[in-house]
Amino acid sequence: MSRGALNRMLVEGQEDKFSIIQLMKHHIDWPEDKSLYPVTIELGGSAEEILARGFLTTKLKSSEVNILGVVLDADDNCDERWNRLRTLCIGLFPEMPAKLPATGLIVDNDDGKRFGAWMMPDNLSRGMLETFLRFLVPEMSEPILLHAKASLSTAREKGAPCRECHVDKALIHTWLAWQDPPGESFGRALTRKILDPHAAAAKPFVKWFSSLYRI
Amino acid sequence: MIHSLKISSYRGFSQFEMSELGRVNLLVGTNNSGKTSVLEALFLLASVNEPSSALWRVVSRRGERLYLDTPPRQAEIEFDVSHLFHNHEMKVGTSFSIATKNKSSSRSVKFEIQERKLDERHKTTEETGPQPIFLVITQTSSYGPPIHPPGLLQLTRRGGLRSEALESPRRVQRSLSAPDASTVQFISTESLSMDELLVMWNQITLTEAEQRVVGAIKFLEPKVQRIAPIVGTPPFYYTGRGGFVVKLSNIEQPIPIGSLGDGTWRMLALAIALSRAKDGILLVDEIDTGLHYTVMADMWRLISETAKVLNVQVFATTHSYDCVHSLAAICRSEADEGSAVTLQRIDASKKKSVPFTENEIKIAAERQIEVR
Repeated sequence: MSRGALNRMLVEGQEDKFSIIQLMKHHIDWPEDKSLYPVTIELGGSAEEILARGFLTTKLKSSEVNILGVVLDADDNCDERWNRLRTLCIGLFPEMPAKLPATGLIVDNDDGKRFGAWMMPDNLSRGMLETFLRFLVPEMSEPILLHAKASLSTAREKGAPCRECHVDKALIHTWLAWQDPPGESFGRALTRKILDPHAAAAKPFVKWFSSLYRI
Repeated sequence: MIHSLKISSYRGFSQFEMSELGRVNLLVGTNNSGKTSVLEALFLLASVNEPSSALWRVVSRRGERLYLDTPPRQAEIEFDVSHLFHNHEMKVGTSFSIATKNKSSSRSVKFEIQERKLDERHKTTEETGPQPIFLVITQTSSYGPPIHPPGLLQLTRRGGLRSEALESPRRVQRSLSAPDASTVQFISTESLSMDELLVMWNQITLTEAEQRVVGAIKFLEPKVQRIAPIVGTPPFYYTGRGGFVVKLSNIEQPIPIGSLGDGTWRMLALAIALSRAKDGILLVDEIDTGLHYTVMADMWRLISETAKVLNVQVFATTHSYDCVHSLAAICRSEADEGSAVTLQRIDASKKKSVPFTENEIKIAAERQIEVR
């Protein structure tokens, strides 16, 4: 069994998974060989599927998990999502705090299990993975990002069907479309440092991830 | 119905607790995690009127005999009870105990090694040396004072238990029945023997239970119409799985049940033992033995429905993925608190089992989460 087999992480989708892997590769030893990954990142489905009653507790009690991390988008309401997560897991982790720490959650229980949670972007604000990645845009490219933002507004005024809740997504994709090479995925943009994996905004997440899995 | 179980210093367990128990409980865990030991512990405790013969059955099933330099005669076979104690350590004063709690009552049994003086009338000339040692069995119940006087099983100098010790006049008296005594049936991995099944069959023949047994066999072989024991021939005539015949719809003459395969014998044992465990406990080691995964959901339905009707509490073990996941067939998603069905993962190095609720068993099956 590989060292990461009992270190598990649940994320909402493929983009979350590859963004996290490519980001962490710049910070910790992360071999190319999948069987040697330090953490096994799984697609847990939508936030609703991850927060379905009984799913997280079954996962936490299962023999395939020693450390379980969950990365969810805060979407519109970080507090509400945190409260649901807390209610689901407090039976197994009585020391779950009332408020989600800004540094991300890490709790242990008597059974030797460890549980961690991170709400994108920063455990506080509304938003998602793309909101987090927006802060990894290199400083020198900030004017381009502002231009993308203005263009996005104009496009929406002209009838582009992009919904309000997806503006953060559209913004980062627009900005990525204007890079060299254009339109890279989040993961590849991190590998090629089009997005800055060492940006100050990435540090709290990297720290949480490393502490959670004791890397 | 037992709600929780506590085991102290028995076999691999130093201290162990299992709680949130339901009517049907499936025990999982790696090899040597102690699943069978938990079944044995429940068996020893539930055999309230026969603790010494239950003990005998437990050690003889595991073949825990003392090795002798010369081949012993039958009467000289000594069972080695030291393995029952945690870390295989047995000396005067060591003990193990098992306790259960129900909604409103509790019960416990303690097995302790003690030095005791023999009554004058049991003394023989050679017993002038060290004090003889005994395995002392003490049972308590919240119903009141000790149910029986303690049972005393004399051990040999080497700490062995001979069959003659079970026959000693100071063994637990059979005639005194505990007020809260219950029936217990234990099906080991070898299933039940033909003799055992024939005796049980006599007790269910021409009752509703007989119909249930035939129904259970039909899960495996829909052509089965009737089952009957063969009478008038001494049991030793049959080996292994003889003793019963079945009538199939497409074959004129009855055929031996052994011709139908391992699963049929296993299902027969399960169905008969379940019927004979009314108001008591059914213990099944490796319940999936011989059963194809396609019939496991049916097996669970039979167990769940019959256990409810007859007020039987079931404890079974398995290693099988299919057996665990087919358990979801009798689970309700809405059941969290007070689950009627539970899965308990056992690990001898942990102090408690990890219980899964009905909803969690369903989720594990649906999302293929490894719970064993």
